[in-house]
Amino acid sequence: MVLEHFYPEIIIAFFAFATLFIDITLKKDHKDFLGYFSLAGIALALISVIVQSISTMASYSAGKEVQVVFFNGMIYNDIFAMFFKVVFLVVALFVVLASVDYTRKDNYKGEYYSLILFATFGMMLVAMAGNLILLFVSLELASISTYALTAFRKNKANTEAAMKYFIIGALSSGIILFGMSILYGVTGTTNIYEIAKIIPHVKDSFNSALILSVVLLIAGFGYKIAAFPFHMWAPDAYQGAPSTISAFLAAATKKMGFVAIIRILVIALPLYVSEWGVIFGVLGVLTMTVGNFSALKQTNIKRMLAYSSIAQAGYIIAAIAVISSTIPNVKYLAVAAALLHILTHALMKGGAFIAVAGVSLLGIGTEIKNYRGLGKRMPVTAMALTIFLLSLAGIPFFAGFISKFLILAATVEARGIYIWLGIFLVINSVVSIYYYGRVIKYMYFEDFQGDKLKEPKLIATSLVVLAFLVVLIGIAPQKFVHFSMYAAASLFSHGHGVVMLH
Amino acid sequence: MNIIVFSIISAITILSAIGVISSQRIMHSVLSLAVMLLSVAAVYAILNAEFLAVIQVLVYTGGVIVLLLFATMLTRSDLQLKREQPSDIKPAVAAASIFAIGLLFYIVGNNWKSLKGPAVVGSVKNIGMLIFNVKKDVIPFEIISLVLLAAMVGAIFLGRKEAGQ
Repeated sequence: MVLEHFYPEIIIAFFAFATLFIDITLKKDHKDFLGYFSLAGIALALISVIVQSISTMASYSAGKEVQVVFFNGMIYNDIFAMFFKVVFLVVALFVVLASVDYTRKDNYKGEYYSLILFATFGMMLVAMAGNLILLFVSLELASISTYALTAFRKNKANTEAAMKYFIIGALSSGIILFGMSILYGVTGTTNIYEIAKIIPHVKDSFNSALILSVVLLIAGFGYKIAAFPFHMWAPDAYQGAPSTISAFLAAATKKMGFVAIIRILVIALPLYVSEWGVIFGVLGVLTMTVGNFSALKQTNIKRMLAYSSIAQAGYIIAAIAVISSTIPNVKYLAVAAALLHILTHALMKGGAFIAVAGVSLLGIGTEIKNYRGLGKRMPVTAMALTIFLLSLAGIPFFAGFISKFLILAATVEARGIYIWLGIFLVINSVVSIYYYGRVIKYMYFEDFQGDKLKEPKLIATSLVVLAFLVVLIGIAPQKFVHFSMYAAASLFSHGHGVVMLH
Repeated sequence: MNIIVFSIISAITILSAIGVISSQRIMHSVLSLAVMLLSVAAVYAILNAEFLAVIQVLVYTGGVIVLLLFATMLTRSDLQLKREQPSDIKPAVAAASIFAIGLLFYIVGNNWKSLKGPAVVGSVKNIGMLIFNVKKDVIPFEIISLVLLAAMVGAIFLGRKEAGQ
């Protein structure tokens, strides 16, 4: 049976439809049920992805062939795709859990939850797409759902954020499509793995066309991952969007751009690796520097987190640049480091935005100075936020340290000019401690007279679990590093063959 | 023969596209846009993509333009409304021109005729064979139905009226 490989997708799609239908039958006071219902769907899908990836990894280590190519190369359900599906589903799980509290007083919950499920479904398909058309269509599914979600409350801030996000998103989709159409025009196929086979036989005169296509693809996906100089929309959109949706955008939707660009560039265009390696190296350094230095002067915590998420994207881009190294096996380490940072960043940034959602739910503003004395007023939220911020800064014993360390290790292993990427990463991490630390200082070391507040239960639950995961990866990272190594190896095995480990 | 027809149609396309951005009245812009979209459909027809040409006329001229006309008529009481000129368009013009010239060089510089090109052309039959074949493009085609549903839910979600409004 083919279908048994797609249980997670089928479950998510089913629950997305079912949420819409159940919404019609429920009375207005009972709409919170929809949140728990979609939560159950995401949890089921997450369990089935985890079971699937454990069994696939086991068969790989046993040397057994596993079927990963489906529908004539349309879908590649390899460990690389499963890794990203785990990231997307974990983020969706905690966003939905926090949303039950966050949207308690809002209307239109059915549409809200089903759009989150549709977006998750689109992102999961992007992770698996082995074909440019499928990749683009699922990218649009995820994007369109998130445009609508950004304007959830329809107030001025939401609408403005959604408008900016929509216009930039539509523009970047057009640029991506242009790049894809050149690839199709030159090679005559939309299958990413077929393109890789055809490109070596294309005449030299099409070099310029293919380089243009690489540039357009990087520019288009650069918008989606908010890389410098395509990052200006991100702070506005993340600040204006409802905080739970900001968590979803920063932690999940952004990662969708990474999975697409890694698969297209690494698989279809390895011949141009020196070109895109240089572009990514420069973009990575600029993105992390601009992100960090802009974050320094922010007074609004959502804007600060948005700029910090730009900086973190810079670290991931730097790791992708290391793939172009010619030293054997370094590219595996580079992809694994990028993947692990994508996972840890999703957990910490998602958690930080959910904490902001919990704070703003109790009527405290999003300016950093409003967080004065939060350690006494909301102890659980403040503690979790502290853990996320320390982890984002890359302090040891937290998840962010492990993944940054892996990126650093990859740049050092690659030697030569790549070491500069590592040096910039370290300098930037030091700079970033200032603005992360400032929030912690406000929460714990500034006097403020105020009552202890009743923290929203479900948001607190999701924060505690996320903080636990961040600490767990920081203390016992073996399983997670292992998973990302397998994912990296399965990306380069082109859908079949035995995984290399080192 | 083909080259003459093509040049005439592309001249109309470019002129009407300039009309869209340069005419002073919004109505004139919308009408120029209609002419532009129709001539793009004609380009598709010359390239043997009859299906695409028909869809272009149906969706863009039949749907989008009518929608734009209705939107303009319903929201603007004054159809003679003058367009506001943006204060400084020079950087945008420069960036767009550089990009356009670069593209032109790349289009002229490559010998596109040496490529094999796709084995099938875009007739209705061929497209049907593509999108209803499990070994071809049936999955993206099915996903598009989800995209439409999500877009519809999103549109209703955004177009709603809150109790207080």
